[in-house]
Amino acid sequence: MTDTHRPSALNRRRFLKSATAAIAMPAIIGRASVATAQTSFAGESLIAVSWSGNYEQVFRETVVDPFNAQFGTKVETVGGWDQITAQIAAAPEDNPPFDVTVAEEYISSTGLAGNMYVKTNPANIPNLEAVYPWFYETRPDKAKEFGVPFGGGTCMLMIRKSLEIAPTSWKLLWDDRLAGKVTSDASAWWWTLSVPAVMSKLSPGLDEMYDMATAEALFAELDKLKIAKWYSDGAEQANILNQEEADAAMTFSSDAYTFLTENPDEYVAAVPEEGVSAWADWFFKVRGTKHDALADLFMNYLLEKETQDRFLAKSMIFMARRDVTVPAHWTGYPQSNEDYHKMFQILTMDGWDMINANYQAFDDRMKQTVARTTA
Amino acid sequence: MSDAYTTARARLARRKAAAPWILMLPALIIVLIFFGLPTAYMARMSFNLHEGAKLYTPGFTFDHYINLFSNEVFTTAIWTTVKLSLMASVVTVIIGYAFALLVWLKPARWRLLFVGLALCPLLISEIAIIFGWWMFFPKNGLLSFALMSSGLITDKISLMYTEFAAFVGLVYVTLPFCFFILLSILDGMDKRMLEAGADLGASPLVTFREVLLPLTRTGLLVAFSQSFIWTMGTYATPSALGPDTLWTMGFLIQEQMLGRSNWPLASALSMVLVVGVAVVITFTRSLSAKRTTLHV
Repeated sequence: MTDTHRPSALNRRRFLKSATAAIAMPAIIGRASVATAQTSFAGESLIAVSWSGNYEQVFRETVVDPFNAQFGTKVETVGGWDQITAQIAAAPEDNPPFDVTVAEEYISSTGLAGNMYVKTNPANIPNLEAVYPWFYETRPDKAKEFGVPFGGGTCMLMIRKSLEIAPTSWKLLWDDRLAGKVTSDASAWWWTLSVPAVMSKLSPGLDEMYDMATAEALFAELDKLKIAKWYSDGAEQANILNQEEADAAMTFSSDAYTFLTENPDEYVAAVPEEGVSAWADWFFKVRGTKHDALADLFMNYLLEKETQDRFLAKSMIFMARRDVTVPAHWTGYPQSNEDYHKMFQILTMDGWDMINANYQAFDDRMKQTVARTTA
Repeated sequence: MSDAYTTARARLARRKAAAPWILMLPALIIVLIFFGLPTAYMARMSFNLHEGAKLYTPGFTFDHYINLFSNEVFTTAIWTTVKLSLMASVVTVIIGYAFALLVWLKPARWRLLFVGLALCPLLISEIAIIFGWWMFFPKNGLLSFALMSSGLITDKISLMYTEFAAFVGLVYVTLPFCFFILLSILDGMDKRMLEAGADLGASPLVTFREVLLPLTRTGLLVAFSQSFIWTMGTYATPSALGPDTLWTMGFLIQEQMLGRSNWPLASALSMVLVVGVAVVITFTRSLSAKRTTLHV
């Protein structure tokens, strides 16, 4: 893949884009120029959903609070996960429970199928210019007009430092040295299933896991794991590791960051050489929002370089902008669009459509794996 | 005159007949709005279709109910939930009864302490209680430490992620409700009846069997019902404390509702849960009614 969005010298096309963005600015903020936006939205409230847990806290500190400080608004963030679309569906269409929401591919799919999101007008989000095209290249056409990409998260391999085993390969989860000392996610089981899919070279990306016929081989690999205890959420994962029930985990980037910052001498986590499965965090404007213009301003703010830098400095996710400042703790951060394609195997929306068509069979099979691998 | 009298009597009779309904009306409206309508909506939802990524598609199918009773995961979960709930409810009632008796029989100065103790779990959220058990059951937890320190065991033990841990967690969550129901029943009784039984030559065991137990039977049944309802629906405690394979109905409902976004199947599971609980409640009420009739 070629990165078509590299910064270049000022040319006619860039000049025209800049001019278009400048002309569109009043539309971005709805009712004022940039210079007066600071007072234009003062006192206006907006509720944005971010992922619950550490992500929510970082989002509040690095995005919401600075935004409110700059524009005098009353933006709040609330944590959400699998109940996001259920909450939107349960609320009246003209009175949603929140105005903007985060969504990975599954929630994007569910929300779009239920017409829960509002199309994005790119003219209102000039910072989209700075986004890696990878985010759009891994998106089906039906979804490209909705939302803005903010970043994304990955699965990671984490091992207790005292074992002196570097987390270089996913194969370690099957290693005899870690037998009976491994934990992985049985609730969001698709991420666990994605591990043997990443290791397998039979199909591109995670394609092998989308079809039950080809996924059986992946489940068979999972059946060979020697699990200490499967976890169903971040808190349980932390407890299993902290109580030394397990020494190695298939974890997630946001959880890994918490473990590494709170217990720097206890764990080591990394992206293994085979690469990782990933999801992209998009923010959508929810149908019926009464803060349309402020939502656009907020979504554009999500893509400001300073915003992205602040968030990245306190996380291990990858960001949407090409020009972020990579913090020291993020070794091996991708440097180009090609790197994004090489490192991150996304569980695509099309893939989700295939899994959803046969979900119960997948879920039942995973429960068999859990039963077979539990000590 | 006669006609007017007849009319007045008829009006009075109608008023008498309507009086209970008029008195019940506010409560009935609340029950219908807050419980009847959601249940009816849930029942209707359980027959909708589920296609692709949509939460549900309006339609009518029995597929979800067929799935529930033909898929081993669901049938096992139904049986596991009923078994666990029955066991936890029986043990909760026994412990709650003993505790309530203790408080009832103790001098008043002890009462506040015991009632305060029983209130404690109600002041803490279920999640916080789970975190407490997470500190108690593991091999590096308080239980293991206490047993090691007392010399009862030589190696650390972990009861975490066992059915026993889930069972203890469920009993702990429902015990206060049981206790307060039974204490309120006991408080309505005259303690001198126990003395009367003794005066008539009955042993404490006979007094318990012939006096105390029959008089508290309704309370026991209510406490059992309350505990059973609670344990059937709770999913966080058994899920967080039990083994990986302890899939209860509550767990599968949240999984289908939130994780899978399959509202019709989640609703079908919920309807089975509601009907199951209703059958048990009706059964316990029938036992209670029989006793009352005998007393009358």
